Amino acid sequence: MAESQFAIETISLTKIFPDWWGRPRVVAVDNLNLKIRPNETYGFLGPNGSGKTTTIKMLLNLLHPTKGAAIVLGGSSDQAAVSSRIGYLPEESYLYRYLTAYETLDFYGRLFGLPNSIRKARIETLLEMVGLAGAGNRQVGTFSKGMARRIGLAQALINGPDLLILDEPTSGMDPMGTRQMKDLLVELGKRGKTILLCSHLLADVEDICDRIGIMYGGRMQVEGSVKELLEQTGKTYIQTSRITDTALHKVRSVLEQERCECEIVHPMDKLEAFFVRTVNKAQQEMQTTSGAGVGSGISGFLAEKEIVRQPGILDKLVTSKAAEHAKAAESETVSVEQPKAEPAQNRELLSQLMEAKPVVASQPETSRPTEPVKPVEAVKKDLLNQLMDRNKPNDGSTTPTGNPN
Amino acid sequence: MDKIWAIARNTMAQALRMKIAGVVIVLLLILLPMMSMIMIGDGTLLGKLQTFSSYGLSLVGILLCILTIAISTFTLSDEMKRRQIFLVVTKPIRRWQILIGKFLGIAILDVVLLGLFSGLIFGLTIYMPRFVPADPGDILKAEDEFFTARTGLKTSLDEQALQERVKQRYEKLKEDRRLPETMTQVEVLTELMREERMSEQSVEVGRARKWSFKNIHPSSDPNTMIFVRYKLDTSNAVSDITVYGLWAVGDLEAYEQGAGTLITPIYNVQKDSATRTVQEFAVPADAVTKEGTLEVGFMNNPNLNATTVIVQDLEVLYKVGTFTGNFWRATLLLLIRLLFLAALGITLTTWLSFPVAVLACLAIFSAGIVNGFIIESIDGLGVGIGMIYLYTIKPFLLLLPQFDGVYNPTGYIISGRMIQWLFLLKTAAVTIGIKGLILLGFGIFVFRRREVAKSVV
Amino acid sequence: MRWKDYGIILLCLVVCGAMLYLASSQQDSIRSSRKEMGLMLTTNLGDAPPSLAFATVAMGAFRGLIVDVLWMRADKLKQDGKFFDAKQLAEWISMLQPRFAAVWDFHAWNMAYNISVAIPNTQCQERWRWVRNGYELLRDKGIAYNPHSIMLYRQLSWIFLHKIGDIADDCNTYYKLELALSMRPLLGDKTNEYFDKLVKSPETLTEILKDEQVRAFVDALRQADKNFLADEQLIETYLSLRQNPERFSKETFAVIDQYRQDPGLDKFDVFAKAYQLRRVWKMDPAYMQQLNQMYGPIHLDDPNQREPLNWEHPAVHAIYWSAKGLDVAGRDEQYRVDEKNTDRVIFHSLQMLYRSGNIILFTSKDGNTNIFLRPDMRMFASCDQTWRKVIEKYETLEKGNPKAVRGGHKNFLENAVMTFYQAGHVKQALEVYRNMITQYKFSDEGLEEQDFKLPMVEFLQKRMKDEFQGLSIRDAVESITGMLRESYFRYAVHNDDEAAGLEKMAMETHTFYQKEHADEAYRMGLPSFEVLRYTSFMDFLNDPMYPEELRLNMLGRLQVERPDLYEKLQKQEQAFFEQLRKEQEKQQTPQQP
Repeated sequence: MAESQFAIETISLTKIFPDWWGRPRVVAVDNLNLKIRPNETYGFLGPNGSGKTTTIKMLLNLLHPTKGAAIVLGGSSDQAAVSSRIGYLPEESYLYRYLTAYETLDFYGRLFGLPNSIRKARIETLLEMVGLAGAGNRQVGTFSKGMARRIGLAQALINGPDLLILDEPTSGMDPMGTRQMKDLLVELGKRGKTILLCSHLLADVEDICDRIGIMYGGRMQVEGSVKELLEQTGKTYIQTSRITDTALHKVRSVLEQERCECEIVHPMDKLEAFFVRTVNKAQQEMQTTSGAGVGSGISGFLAEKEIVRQPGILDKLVTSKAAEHAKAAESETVSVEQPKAEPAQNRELLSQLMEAKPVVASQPETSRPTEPVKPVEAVKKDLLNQLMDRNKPNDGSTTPTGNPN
Repeated sequence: MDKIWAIARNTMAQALRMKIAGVVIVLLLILLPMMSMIMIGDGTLLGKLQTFSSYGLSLVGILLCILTIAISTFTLSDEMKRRQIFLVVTKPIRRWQILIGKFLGIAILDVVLLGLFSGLIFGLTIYMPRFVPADPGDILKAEDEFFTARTGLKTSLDEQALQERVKQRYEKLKEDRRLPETMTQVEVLTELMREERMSEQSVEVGRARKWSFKNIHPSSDPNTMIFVRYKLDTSNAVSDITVYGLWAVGDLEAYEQGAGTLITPIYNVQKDSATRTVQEFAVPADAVTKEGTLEVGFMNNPNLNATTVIVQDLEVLYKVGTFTGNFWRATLLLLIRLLFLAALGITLTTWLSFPVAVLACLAIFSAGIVNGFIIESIDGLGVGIGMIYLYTIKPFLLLLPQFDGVYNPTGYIISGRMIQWLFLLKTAAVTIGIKGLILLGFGIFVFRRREVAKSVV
Repeated sequence: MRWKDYGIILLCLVVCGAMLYLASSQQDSIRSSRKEMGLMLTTNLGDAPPSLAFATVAMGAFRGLIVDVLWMRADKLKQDGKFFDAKQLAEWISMLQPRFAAVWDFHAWNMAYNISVAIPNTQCQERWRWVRNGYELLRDKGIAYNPHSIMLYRQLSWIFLHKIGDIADDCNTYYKLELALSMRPLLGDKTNEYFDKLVKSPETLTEILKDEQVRAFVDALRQADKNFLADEQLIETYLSLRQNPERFSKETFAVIDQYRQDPGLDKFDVFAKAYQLRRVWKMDPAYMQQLNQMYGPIHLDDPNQREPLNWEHPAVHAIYWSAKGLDVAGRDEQYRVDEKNTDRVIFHSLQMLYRSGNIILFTSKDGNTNIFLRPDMRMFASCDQTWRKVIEKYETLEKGNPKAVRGGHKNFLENAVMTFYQAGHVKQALEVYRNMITQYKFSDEGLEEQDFKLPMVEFLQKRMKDEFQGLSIRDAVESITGMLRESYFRYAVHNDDEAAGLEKMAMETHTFYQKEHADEAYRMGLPSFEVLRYTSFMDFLNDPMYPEELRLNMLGRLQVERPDLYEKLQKQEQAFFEQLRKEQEKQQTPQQP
């Protein structure tokens, strides 16, 4: 295995799709030089058709690059030594409809050549973790999209991978699942895993990624750490507990004296946080569901994994760094959880969603998973406009997480 | 191996969920017992057994072939279409392991299904004599000609001597300048060869001819019979006339030399036979000497015949095995066919889409079914146009699998003929070992280079 | 880029167009040859069942392909000597090409002729099955779907006339026996009256059941045994009463006994037989009766009375189908050809009936039946008439040279004179002789036939003389003993007139030969007539061709009817051996020098 300081490195990676006659038609990926360090959680963003998935497929040897090369974990992913350390969740869960959840995981476990005892134990934990322990004997064909997604995630983790490549991991998942996924990814990041996350849900990416890159037209438009890209240096945000109007007035006057522009709002709870609270409450009251449960949390899986997994070469390389990163990630997680205001134009829609809340809570798979995404997409469009205009995303006023102006 | 096994199991699970699999299984489970009841053949027990086993095995063969084609072309192409293959090829498994796994899965399925349905046919056939009213003669006939595995020895012509004679005759004609002008040299030689061949087999009125067979070793059971099969033709072109002949079977040489005591009894069989149809008669097996030689003589009866008789395809048959063993060998012959088709189907889908692959597979399968017939027809063609085919189409046909003629198991079963292990192994080696493996190797070659996520814009 | 695409599209279009053009240019010739071969389904299938109609339509263009495959299989199996599937295949093929008369024709012929003879002649039963498969395919299916194809009628009558009627097949007597046995129960007492009854009998069960008497009988029958309940099987069950009596209850036979004198039973019996003739044999009693009137045998004592034909005989079936074919399917444009073919079949059939139309079935106690065919002299008149008609017809219509036909007729008449005379029918012999003289007084060259000036007896003697002139002693003995054996056979089956006639004939022959050769001292004379009679008698008694019971019958009859003769025979036996010894000694002496 070639020594490489990157978990994923592409060199002038180019993919051109030909038409039926073999003539080049579409340049899907154009001279991409992607570098992802070990133990990094990388957010791979971009509108539909920007070349994200094509890049991932080239990384996984599902497509052959027209030009350039992709080095994954120091080698090519068609080498067994490399692919046995990769967990991959494709953009949709391409599972065998006729297999049960258990059989599905068993099948992939066998493909990794896992010994029987480990495979069995791990399947149990994974099913537990993704909240499908009760549905282990149900055929995957009967699953909702979100449930299938959970199985997809479980299969990506069955080998205890060092590198996770996730293509839209939360698509179709209920908010609980989304939340858990995020928790899991954060936790995995802490454990020193490298994660390549490809998503349209910018909020998710923002919450968990160390670094992001935005693709458009097959090219990397901008790349950098989240903090770097999103920090609004000209603004300061003060959070207080409930204070009196008088005190508020005082604060305002102080600030105006300092010639700062100041706006005072009452912060809204994030819908996700609210949803998670409601479902947790319901779960404590022992309401049953035939769909996906909340899951036992990720600790079981991770604990088991730590025992079984032999540290790979890369693990050794990055162990020292891992601790620091873990700390950093932790602090970031805290900041993510700070309540943030929703953009004003979404309020009406959200209030409708709130009314539907109880249903969502008891039967998560019947909820429309795409609906919460909609507003984000609307905003994303703006972002794209900007990207096209200026080629520069570094404008806080239009970021989807919407800092108060 | 574990990985291959996982793929194989998954392939089986996938196949069993295909509608066509259910249809084929249910159809056969209903049709076979039904056929055993309604198929009556020519009304005799033997005819019923022959009709049922012939149609039963053919039906099982055809349906399982179609099923195998469907599964083998479906399994990989469907996984590609549904992109389930993405999750498989990104795992630490080699592409060849995927293909071999799929092949193994289909093979196991074929073995199980073929075992099941052949077993059903076998059971129905074995029990048929008990359910069909038949007199002892009928049952004996069925035992002798159906529930047995007979091997046949054919007479062979001394090809070298024949060629020598043809050459001499040709030279003579050339010397005498009597070569027909309208014919090419090849044509003349072919015609001469045909004449020589015929004269080797012909028996003039009132004359007799003798053939010897060596290495016959029937079982020592005193009830064992030796069957003499032959086809008669006459030198005049009138079709379907009756020829009267006297056959003598035994150690004729000792008899002719007037040896005091005969080593074997001589059996005389007076028989009138229709021409151009295979005929058969039986004599006790003690006509064979201890050394395993048997001589068969034919006399053209001068009182009743007026033409020279040509004895063709003379063959001596005797029992060498059991029906059970033979039946399962016939099943293995079918299995060879299925395995080849499995390899073919999988290979084709490494680069073709499902519908195209199915059509191609079916085309090759049909070609296999009539292959022997076509090759035979080409061989039978005259020298002119035949030559063209001989060097263009025939080599291509030889590449294709061959499912008819001697490779068709029903032929052996209905005439109670032994399928030799050696033949079976040879067929397996050629059909699976060479043709199948080459195909699969080609499939692996293609599949290894294939972009499974390839999309065409 | 664009232009290249257009180029490719254009090329494809051109190729398509060219192929279309080529295909359409072939269309006409294909259509015309289809028409020529009668492959176009322009008319509806006759009485085809829905499944067949469906099969022919549903298969569409693949029909031909399937037929080819099946045909190849049938041929291959035939060549390999395997026939287990032949009938099924023949039916399928014919079903798929129901309008193609040649297909039916071929397969029927294949089964009746090729396949049957491929089966060893020791298995006549099996051979017969194939012959029957052959004619049944034609009669029940081929003709049913193609009632206007004369080819099928011709082939059907040919199977009856040649395959069953003629002696080419080793199993021909078995075929004749089977045919006679299956026809016999349907023919009643074989009188004209019975045929009239058959003709008048209603065609359907419903119709016959309208009759009160029949109704009462059938109801009684149904009460006695539930086998008779179902309408569809009623008739078949009734007809099987005699063959399988053990299958029925005692009450059934009580009912039969009870109704024995009742017209109900009689009417139903006639109906059942007519029904069976119509349904299974596809023969119409009215048409049968019509043929009876046309070709039936003439009573020897009453020349004005025509009796029914012997429908147990295959030749009569041949006449039926041939005549029917001409009536139903004679083609206008080729009527002459069809007519000629029909004439030919009828002509040969009648000759066959004259030579061997008298069927004698002898059933021994063990149930085995033997069949003997003897000349039926009553057929002479029909035969003669037809012959004359043929001569007349082809003289005037064809303007052909009827020399050969006339010669044949002359021989036929000469033989008839002899046969009648031999059989003791001197009156008929004389009449035939007179007819012959008037017609053939002058030979074709215009010369007067000298022999015809002789009185009949002298004429016959002269003929016999001619016949025996070149005969060796062995042949003479053979001829005389043959006549005697035949005479004893007739005697055994209670045909005393003919028996006496034949014996007389044998004696005359013997005397005649002795006289002719008396002067030839160097040759031994014939053995005495007594010796010959005795050897023939023993020959007959030891002839395995006749069933043993029939031969014992003969002895029994002698013992009862002619005890004196029986005793004499026993004495003769001793004397015979005595004489035999002497003759042997005598025979050995001249050889010694």
